[in-house]
Amino acid sequence: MPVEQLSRVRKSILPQVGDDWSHIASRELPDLSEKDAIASLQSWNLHVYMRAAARMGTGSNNILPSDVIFVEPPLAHG
Amino acid sequence: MYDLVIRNGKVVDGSGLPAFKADVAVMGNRIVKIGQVPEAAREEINAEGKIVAPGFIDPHTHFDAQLLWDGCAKPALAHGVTTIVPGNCSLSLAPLKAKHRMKLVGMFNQIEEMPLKAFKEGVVWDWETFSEYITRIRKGLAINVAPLVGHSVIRLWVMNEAATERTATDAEIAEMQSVLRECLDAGAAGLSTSYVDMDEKLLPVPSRYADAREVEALASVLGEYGRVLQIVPEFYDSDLTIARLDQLAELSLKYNIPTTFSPLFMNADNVDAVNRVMARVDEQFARGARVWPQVQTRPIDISFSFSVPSLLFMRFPTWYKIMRFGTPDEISAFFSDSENRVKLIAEAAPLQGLWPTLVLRHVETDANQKYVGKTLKEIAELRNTTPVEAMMDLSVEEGLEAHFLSAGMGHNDDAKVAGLLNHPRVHIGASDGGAHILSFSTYGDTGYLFSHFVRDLNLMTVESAVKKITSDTAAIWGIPERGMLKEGMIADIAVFDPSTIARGEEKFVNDVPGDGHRYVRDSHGVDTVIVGGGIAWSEAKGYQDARGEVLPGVREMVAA
Amino acid sequence: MSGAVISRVELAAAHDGDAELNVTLQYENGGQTLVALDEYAVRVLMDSCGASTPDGLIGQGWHHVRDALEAASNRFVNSNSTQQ
Repeated sequence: MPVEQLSRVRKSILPQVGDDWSHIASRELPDLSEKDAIASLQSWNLHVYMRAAARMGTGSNNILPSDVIFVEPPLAHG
Repeated sequence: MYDLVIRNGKVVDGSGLPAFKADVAVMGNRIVKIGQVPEAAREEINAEGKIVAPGFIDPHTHFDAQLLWDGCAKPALAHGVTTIVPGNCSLSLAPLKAKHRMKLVGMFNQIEEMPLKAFKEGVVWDWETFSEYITRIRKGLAINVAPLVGHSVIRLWVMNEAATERTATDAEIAEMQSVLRECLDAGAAGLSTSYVDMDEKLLPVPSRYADAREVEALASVLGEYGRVLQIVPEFYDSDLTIARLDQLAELSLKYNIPTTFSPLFMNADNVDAVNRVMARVDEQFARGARVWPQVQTRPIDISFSFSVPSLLFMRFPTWYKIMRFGTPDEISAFFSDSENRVKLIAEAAPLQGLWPTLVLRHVETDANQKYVGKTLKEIAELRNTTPVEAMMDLSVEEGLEAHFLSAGMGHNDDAKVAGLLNHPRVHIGASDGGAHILSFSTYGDTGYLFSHFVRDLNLMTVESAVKKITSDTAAIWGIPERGMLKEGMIADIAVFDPSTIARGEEKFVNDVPGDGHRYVRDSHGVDTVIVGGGIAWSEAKGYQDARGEVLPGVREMVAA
Repeated sequence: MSGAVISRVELAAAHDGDAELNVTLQYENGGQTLVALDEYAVRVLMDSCGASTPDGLIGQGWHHVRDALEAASNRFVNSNSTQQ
């Protein structure tokens, strides 16, 4: 089965170097205001808040380099 | 004359094909004949009425520390498990620099609940490299070990404190690749990583600070050896699990490696989610990727005492309030007050269905030991009271250290779990053997598979259950010459009675170095366990030969 | 801006043998996600929502869940930093 034929799943990205909510918001959700884009991203990625990103040392940026970040809400199934 | 013959048993050879009556002859460490064996042997086992199967392989364990003082990985061997895979979830005990020992001990304490005292009194720290650790555990090994090396540990070796602060540089990633090669050359069966686990400070383990570039670089090394990548995904969320298995699939296809993720649980509220995960697994296998989900056989139990607030009572405001805000003395006084008791009893009325299954699992006083293992309903009858009052009275008598267990609260829909266990692209595993030792027993999942799903519910055949935990596992993990009963194969064999095999009741024992305790389950119905042609354990004589090996990985098999 | 709200709460057994609360969030597109909260996070969430029972959480906004999870996670950072 070619990769193009995989069924659609919820769209996600992996963080790039230096990414925080603001960077991801401007890159992935350019049509929204920064405030709304960040709020949307956070609401779609509550798993990021299930642990502290200790010692990453970047204040409010709690995204870990290994995180999966969803850039859309969960798909509606059935 | 043969060294060993197992006579009159029903052979379930691990292929999944129907059982057949035959004798099994062993010379040295190998099976030399299956069929009619008229010749005598130095040792004979009468397996009349029993099943003769390949030894079971447990692919998800945390026996890393226990192997330092117990080469049998007790009680796994007695349950018929002849091969274990430790080093899961990004954590192994090597490679480990001396300066990092206490940090890793803390991580093992957090994840396995292995007491610090056990490391102090049970461990001679005479290794740093993976090779030295392997040499260390080989002494007195009675069970086979196919050890994973942990990503978090490799990261710690290369990056020191920065392992939990930042992504790695190109030079550090190259060094991690070299370290991984050394581990694989020394016998590591693969690499484990985790996107979930927490360290000794309840902060993310080092592997969670790695970016995808680092994981891919390590996967490329696994590709050189054809060895396994194991991960713990964010299993509580199906979209995250799917995203991780997609990552695994790309690595599997690009580097031609087997990958596995664990655990995958089936609860009443996530049936659709698990079905979506499995649909994705099917699609990725159709592409040629190997992404094996691991599913455990046992249900999840909830344990609690009144010394720590438990959400089990959160729908009962009076109970929950006193658990949340009361000191131990206040809780005891509250439970002893007659007016409060009336209120508590009335509020707990909806729990009526729980009493026959809620078990007392641990007490401190000698006086109440006689109630351990009994349900609250049974205890109430013995004490001439009601179950809810018995629970409060025992808690008060034990200074709130009466521990209760509510069995089968999760992963408990038998038909649906059986559907997963039977699925051709599901890998039975995730026992976590050797972990959570102070919370619950992680031993006896194979006994539970045969007693519950095969015998009691008839939802699996014994042949397919054996295949799933023997030849399938060996094939997935690239473990050569084991997992099947066939002439020429190494003689790892479990002889068990299909009518009685089961996991025993959970019990709290004091067998951890440093006067430590853990929950275990004895095996029932397992007659004899053979490792490398020697009797490693029998019901009659207990633990015997120690012929366990650190198993060669795929490279050796390919070379052979 | 996301208007996801809590649509369901259910007690569940966590992998480590503790009881946890599974909170389902419903998004505006009909999609759902499930978040597991430990006892500490539930306590913060209920206080933040002014809820006295789990069912009182239904209809509350997603940001309460975010803040409860963050508070529960940060307690480890804070306890570690004060110990050091």
